[in-house]
Amino acid sequence: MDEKQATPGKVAIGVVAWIGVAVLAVIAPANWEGFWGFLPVAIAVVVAWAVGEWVMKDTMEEGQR
Amino acid sequence: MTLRTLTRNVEFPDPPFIRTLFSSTLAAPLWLVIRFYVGWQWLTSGWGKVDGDGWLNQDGAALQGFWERIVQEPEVGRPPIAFGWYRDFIQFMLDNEWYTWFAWIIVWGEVLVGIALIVGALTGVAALFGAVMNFNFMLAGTASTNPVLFLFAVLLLLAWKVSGYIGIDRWLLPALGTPWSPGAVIRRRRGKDQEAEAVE
Repeated sequence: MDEKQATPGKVAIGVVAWIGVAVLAVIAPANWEGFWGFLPVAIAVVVAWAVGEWVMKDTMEEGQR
Repeated sequence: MTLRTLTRNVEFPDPPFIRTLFSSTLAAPLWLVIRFYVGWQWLTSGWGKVDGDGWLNQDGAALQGFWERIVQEPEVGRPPIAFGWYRDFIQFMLDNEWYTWFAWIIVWGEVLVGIALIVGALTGVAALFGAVMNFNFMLAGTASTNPVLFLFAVLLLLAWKVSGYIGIDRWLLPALGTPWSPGAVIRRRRGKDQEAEAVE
Protein backbone atom coordinates (compact mmCIF):
# COMPACT_ATOMS: atom_id res chain seq x y z
CA MET A 1 0.00 0.00 0.00
CA ASP A 2 1.24 3.45 -0.85
CA GLU A 3 1.67 5.14 2.52
CA LYS A 4 1.19 8.92 2.47
CA GLN A 5 3.43 10.94 4.77
CA ALA A 6 2.69 14.31 6.35
CA THR A 7 5.15 17.01 5.31
CA PRO A 8 8.01 17.59 7.82
CA GLY A 9 6.93 21.19 8.27
CA LYS A 10 3.41 20.20 9.28
CA VAL A 11 4.72 17.46 11.58
CA ALA A 12 7.00 20.02 13.24
CA ILE A 13 4.01 22.31 13.85
CA GLY A 14 2.13 19.42 15.50
CA VAL A 15 5.10 18.48 17.68
CA VAL A 16 5.65 22.10 18.74
CA ALA A 17 1.94 22.40 19.60
CA TRP A 18 2.11 19.41 21.96
CA ILE A 19 5.39 20.56 23.51
CA GLY A 20 3.66 23.91 24.10
CA VAL A 21 0.84 22.13 25.92
CA ALA A 22 3.29 20.22 28.13
CA VAL A 23 5.17 23.44 28.99
CA LEU A 24 1.89 25.23 29.75
CA ALA A 25 0.80 22.31 31.97
CA VAL A 26 4.04 22.65 33.94
CA ILE A 27 3.88 26.41 34.46
CA ALA A 28 0.10 26.88 34.86
CA PRO A 29 -0.40 25.49 38.42
CA ALA A 30 2.32 27.72 39.82
CA ASN A 31 1.15 30.87 38.08
CA TRP A 32 -2.64 30.80 38.07
CA GLU A 33 -5.00 29.78 40.84
CA GLY A 34 -7.30 26.78 40.52
CA PHE A 35 -9.71 26.90 37.61
CA TRP A 36 -7.84 29.75 35.90
CA GLY A 37 -4.75 27.56 35.76
CA PHE A 38 -6.69 24.58 34.51
CA LEU A 39 -8.68 26.37 31.80
CA PRO A 40 -5.80 27.43 29.47
CA VAL A 41 -4.28 23.93 29.73
CA ALA A 42 -7.59 22.27 28.85
CA ILE A 43 -8.10 24.60 25.87
CA ALA A 44 -4.49 24.05 24.74
CA VAL A 45 -4.94 20.25 24.72
CA VAL A 46 -8.00 20.46 22.49
CA VAL A 47 -6.30 23.00 20.19
CA ALA A 48 -3.14 20.87 19.91
CA TRP A 49 -5.27 17.83 19.12
CA ALA A 50 -7.06 19.77 16.38
CA VAL A 51 -3.66 20.86 15.01
CA GLY A 52 -2.60 17.19 14.99
CA GLU A 53 -5.73 16.25 13.06
CA TRP A 54 -4.97 19.00 10.53
CA VAL A 55 -1.39 17.73 10.19
CA MET A 56 -2.58 14.16 9.51
CA LYS A 57 -5.58 15.10 7.36
CA ASP A 58 -3.92 14.46 4.00
CA THR A 59 -2.30 11.20 5.11
CA MET A 60 -5.49 9.38 6.06
CA GLU A 61 -7.81 7.43 3.85
CA GLU A 62 -11.42 8.58 3.56
CA GLY A 63 -12.72 6.08 6.14
CA GLN A 64 -10.10 6.99 8.76
CA ARG A 65 -11.01 10.66 8.98
CA MET B 1 -16.57 -33.77 32.39
CA THR B 2 -15.61 -31.04 34.87
CA LEU B 3 -12.10 -30.83 33.40
CA ARG B 4 -13.57 -30.53 29.93
CA THR B 5 -15.80 -27.69 31.08
CA LEU B 6 -12.85 -25.90 32.66
CA THR B 7 -10.53 -26.29 29.67
CA ARG B 8 -13.13 -25.38 27.05
CA ASN B 9 -12.71 -21.86 25.72
CA VAL B 10 -15.95 -19.93 25.96
CA GLU B 11 -15.81 -16.21 25.25
CA PHE B 12 -18.58 -13.91 26.41
CA PRO B 13 -18.80 -10.77 24.28
CA ASP B 14 -19.20 -7.46 26.09
CA PRO B 15 -22.55 -5.68 25.72
CA PRO B 16 -22.59 -2.79 23.20
CA PHE B 17 -22.71 -0.18 25.98
CA ILE B 18 -19.48 -1.47 27.53
CA ARG B 19 -17.82 -1.72 24.12
CA THR B 20 -18.77 1.88 23.36
CA LEU B 21 -17.58 3.10 26.75
CA PHE B 22 -14.21 1.36 26.81
CA SER B 23 -13.31 0.74 23.17
CA SER B 24 -15.00 3.39 21.04
CA THR B 25 -13.70 6.85 20.18
CA LEU B 26 -17.25 8.11 20.77
CA ALA B 27 -16.48 7.91 24.50
CA ALA B 28 -13.21 9.85 24.12
CA PRO B 29 -14.71 13.23 25.22
CA LEU B 30 -15.90 11.63 28.48
CA TRP B 31 -12.44 10.23 29.16
CA LEU B 32 -10.94 13.61 28.30
CA VAL B 33 -12.93 15.25 31.10
CA ILE B 34 -11.94 12.53 33.59
CA ARG B 35 -8.31 12.71 32.44
CA PHE B 36 -8.29 16.49 32.96
CA TYR B 37 -9.73 16.17 36.46
CA VAL B 38 -7.40 13.39 37.64
CA GLY B 39 -4.37 14.85 35.83
CA TRP B 40 -4.92 18.30 37.29
CA GLN B 41 -5.24 16.85 40.82
CA TRP B 42 -1.90 15.05 40.43
CA LEU B 43 -0.18 18.01 38.82
CA THR B 44 -1.23 20.55 41.44
CA SER B 45 -0.44 18.11 44.25
CA GLY B 46 3.02 17.41 42.83
CA TRP B 47 3.67 21.06 42.11
CA GLY B 48 2.71 21.99 45.68
CA LYS B 49 5.40 19.59 46.89
CA VAL B 50 7.98 21.00 44.46
CA ASP B 51 7.36 24.45 45.95
CA GLY B 52 6.94 23.23 49.53
CA ASP B 53 9.54 22.41 52.15
CA GLY B 54 10.65 18.93 53.13
CA TRP B 55 10.23 17.13 49.82
CA LEU B 56 12.93 18.15 47.39
CA ASN B 57 14.94 19.81 50.16
CA GLN B 58 15.69 19.17 53.87
CA ASP B 59 16.41 15.48 53.04
CA GLY B 60 12.72 14.65 52.61
CA ALA B 61 11.79 15.75 56.14
CA ALA B 62 8.09 16.06 55.24
CA LEU B 63 7.95 12.45 54.08
CA GLN B 64 9.95 11.35 57.11
CA GLY B 65 7.44 13.05 59.39
CA PHE B 66 4.54 11.45 57.55
CA TRP B 67 6.06 7.97 57.79
CA GLU B 68 6.89 8.44 61.49
CA ARG B 69 3.30 9.44 62.17
CA ILE B 70 1.64 6.55 60.32
CA VAL B 71 3.76 3.75 61.80
CA GLN B 72 2.56 4.66 65.33
CA GLU B 73 0.32 2.16 67.06
CA PRO B 74 -1.84 4.02 69.62
CA GLU B 75 -2.77 2.26 72.87
CA VAL B 76 -6.40 3.19 72.32
CA GLY B 77 -8.13 3.09 68.94
CA ARG B 78 -6.97 1.84 65.58
CA PRO B 79 -3.57 2.57 64.02
CA PRO B 80 -3.46 4.57 60.74
CA ILE B 81 -2.14 1.53 58.86
CA ALA B 82 -4.47 -1.48 59.03
CA PHE B 83 -2.02 -4.10 57.73
CA GLY B 84 0.98 -5.13 59.82
CA TRP B 85 3.09 -6.08 56.79
CA TYR B 86 2.61 -2.60 55.30
CA ARG B 87 3.55 -0.95 58.62
CA ASP B 88 6.72 -3.11 58.68
CA PHE B 89 7.48 -2.03 55.11
CA ILE B 90 7.16 1.67 55.99
CA GLN B 91 9.24 1.11 59.16
CA PHE B 92 11.93 -0.60 57.06
CA MET B 93 12.07 2.39 54.69
CA LEU B 94 12.14 4.74 57.68
CA ASP B 95 14.99 2.85 59.38
CA ASN B 96 17.03 2.94 56.18
CA GLU B 97 16.34 6.64 55.59
CA TRP B 98 14.75 5.99 52.21
CA TYR B 99 12.71 9.18 52.60
CA THR B 100 15.76 11.13 51.42
CA TRP B 101 15.30 9.84 47.85
CA PHE B 102 11.78 8.44 47.94
CA ALA B 103 10.39 11.95 48.33
CA TRP B 104 11.84 12.80 44.90
CA ILE B 105 10.12 9.78 43.33
CA ILE B 106 6.76 10.77 44.82
CA VAL B 107 7.03 14.44 43.79
CA TRP B 108 8.18 13.87 40.20
CA GLY B 109 5.91 10.82 39.89
CA GLU B 110 2.92 13.00 40.73
CA VAL B 111 4.00 15.75 38.32
CA LEU B 112 4.71 13.32 35.45
CA VAL B 113 1.49 11.35 35.94
CA GLY B 114 -0.41 14.64 35.96
CA ILE B 115 1.18 15.89 32.73
CA ALA B 116 0.82 12.50 30.99
CA LEU B 117 -2.89 12.34 31.85
CA ILE B 118 -3.54 15.91 30.78
CA VAL B 119 -1.81 15.58 27.40
CA GLY B 120 -3.00 11.97 27.00
CA ALA B 121 0.41 10.36 26.48
CA LEU B 122 0.48 6.62 27.34
CA THR B 123 -2.67 7.27 29.32
CA GLY B 124 -3.09 3.66 30.46
CA VAL B 125 0.45 3.52 31.86
CA ALA B 126 0.06 6.92 33.55
CA ALA B 127 -3.28 5.85 35.05
CA LEU B 128 -1.66 2.65 36.33
CA PHE B 129 1.11 4.57 38.11
CA GLY B 130 -1.47 6.99 39.48
CA ALA B 131 -3.58 4.11 40.78
CA VAL B 132 -0.49 2.55 42.43
CA MET B 133 0.19 5.84 44.25
CA ASN B 134 -3.49 6.18 45.33
CA PHE B 135 -3.45 2.57 46.52
CA ASN B 136 -0.35 3.15 48.62
CA PHE B 137 -1.66 6.40 50.09
CA MET B 138 -4.84 4.55 51.08
CA LEU B 139 -2.84 1.67 52.60
CA ALA B 140 -0.97 4.32 54.57
CA GLY B 141 -4.27 5.44 56.07
CA THR B 142 -4.83 8.58 53.99
CA ALA B 143 -8.32 8.71 52.49
CA SER B 144 -8.64 12.31 51.24
CA THR B 145 -9.36 12.33 47.47
CA ASN B 146 -7.59 9.00 46.93
CA PRO B 147 -10.65 6.69 46.68
CA VAL B 148 -12.21 8.85 43.94
CA LEU B 149 -8.92 9.30 42.07
CA PHE B 150 -8.28 5.55 42.34
CA LEU B 151 -11.69 4.74 40.87
CA PHE B 152 -11.15 7.15 37.96
CA ALA B 153 -7.63 5.75 37.39
CA VAL B 154 -9.00 2.20 37.15
CA LEU B 155 -11.65 3.35 34.67
CA LEU B 156 -9.02 5.17 32.58
CA LEU B 157 -6.93 2.02 32.69
CA LEU B 158 -9.84 -0.10 31.44
CA ALA B 159 -10.42 2.40 28.64
CA TRP B 160 -6.70 2.66 27.77
CA LYS B 161 -7.35 2.22 24.01
CA VAL B 162 -9.48 5.36 23.75
CA SER B 163 -8.91 7.35 26.95
CA GLY B 164 -6.03 9.24 25.33
CA TYR B 165 -7.62 9.51 21.89
CA ILE B 166 -8.16 13.26 22.30
CA GLY B 167 -4.50 13.59 23.16
CA ILE B 168 -1.06 12.38 22.11
CA ASP B 169 -2.16 8.72 22.22
CA ARG B 170 -4.10 9.45 19.03
CA TRP B 171 -0.71 9.14 17.28
CA LEU B 172 1.49 7.48 19.91
CA LEU B 173 -0.45 4.22 20.30
CA PRO B 174 -0.71 3.46 16.56
CA ALA B 175 3.03 4.20 16.26
CA LEU B 176 4.11 2.04 19.21
CA GLY B 177 1.36 -0.57 19.01
CA THR B 178 0.99 -3.30 21.61
CA PRO B 179 2.97 -6.49 22.37
CA TRP B 180 0.35 -8.49 20.41
CA SER B 181 0.03 -5.99 17.57
CA PRO B 182 3.20 -4.02 16.77
CA GLY B 183 2.79 -0.43 15.65
CA ALA B 184 4.20 1.36 12.63
CA VAL B 185 7.52 2.22 14.30
CA ILE B 186 8.15 -1.37 15.42
CA ARG B 187 7.07 -2.82 12.07
CA ARG B 188 9.42 -0.45 10.21
CA ARG B 189 12.31 -1.41 12.48
CA ARG B 190 11.60 -5.12 12.04
CA GLY B 191 11.45 -4.61 8.28
CA LYS B 192 14.87 -2.95 8.31
CA ASP B 193 16.30 -5.80 10.43
CA GLN B 194 14.93 -8.36 7.99
CA GLU B 195 16.39 -6.43 5.05
CA ALA B 196 19.78 -6.37 6.78
CA GLU B 197 19.59 -10.13 7.41
CA ALA B 198 18.68 -10.76 3.76
CA VAL B 199 21.72 -8.75 2.61
CA GLU B 200 24.01 -10.76 4.93
